[in-house]
Amino acid sequence: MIKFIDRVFPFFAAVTALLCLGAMYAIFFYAGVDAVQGISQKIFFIHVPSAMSCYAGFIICSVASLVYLLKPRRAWDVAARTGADLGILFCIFVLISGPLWGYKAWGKPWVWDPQLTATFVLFLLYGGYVALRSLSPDTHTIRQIGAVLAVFACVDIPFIHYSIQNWGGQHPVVEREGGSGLSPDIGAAFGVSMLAFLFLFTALYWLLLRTRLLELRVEELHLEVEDLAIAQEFA
Amino acid sequence: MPRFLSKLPASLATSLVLCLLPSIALAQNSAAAKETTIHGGVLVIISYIALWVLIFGFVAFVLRKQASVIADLAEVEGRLDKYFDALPEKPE
Repeated sequence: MIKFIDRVFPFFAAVTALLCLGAMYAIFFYAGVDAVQGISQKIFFIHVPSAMSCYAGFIICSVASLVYLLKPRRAWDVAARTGADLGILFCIFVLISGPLWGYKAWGKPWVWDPQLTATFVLFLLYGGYVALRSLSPDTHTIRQIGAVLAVFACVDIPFIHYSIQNWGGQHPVVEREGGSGLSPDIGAAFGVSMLAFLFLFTALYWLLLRTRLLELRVEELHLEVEDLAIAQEFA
Repeated sequence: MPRFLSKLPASLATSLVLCLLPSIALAQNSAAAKETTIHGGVLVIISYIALWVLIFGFVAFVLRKQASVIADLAEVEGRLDKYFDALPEKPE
């Protein structure tokens, strides 16, 4: 399976690059400028898919962490760490692009709106997980602590999603009220952008996961060679 | 030369195109929305450049990690060679 993915990966990466270029073209040359928000609305095309990618990364992290707690195999831990790293990357971008868009749309870059606050809390929770895993030795106890943290942190994701309906706020809900409420050209560009981000997320995830799995294998080889050397010394 | 360096010119060209495309935003309508001191197009450019900087930064981080794994693997190979060289040869 891994060999097959490795073989098709260059093709997949090329398709991803083409989709990214296609999305850029659709956003800036095909989709019209929003009459209400003006040009700053173009941030929407990357802000929302980034938020979705961030959720995807964190959900992968939490699910893999849960599986690791039930079945402590290193590969699950590696899958969880990779999901968190990628989730944090997109979350940082959401927290950069959101205030840039908000500055033009609301007149100020940040408001303590329920959805924004919950997203910031999500960043802190998974940021804590990433910091814990990066700064601590890679022992079974640390992996377990990280896994428990990741499972609990996941609870914040539905809070973000439903915060607007339940607690209101300034954040727009246009894409969640049944019909998208987007004009056809903006909707089409948004669709292409979502697809490009889906491919980009998958490509980046595989790239880091594959490297981490290799790293793990090399670490095991180091230990095996160490054992051989000790056995030779005593022989 | 590391393999990824051979792809550097193509990667740089792609990243340049990706970063320059949003500059179209400067020429488009910035009216509407709130009156602020910063042109909407500038905000769009900053956010798109930030996106590509983060993504290319991530790819560079993974490539560095790959290079270190390759170096580790070479070290293991070297140690294995040493181990096999030290083994007494079996009489035929």
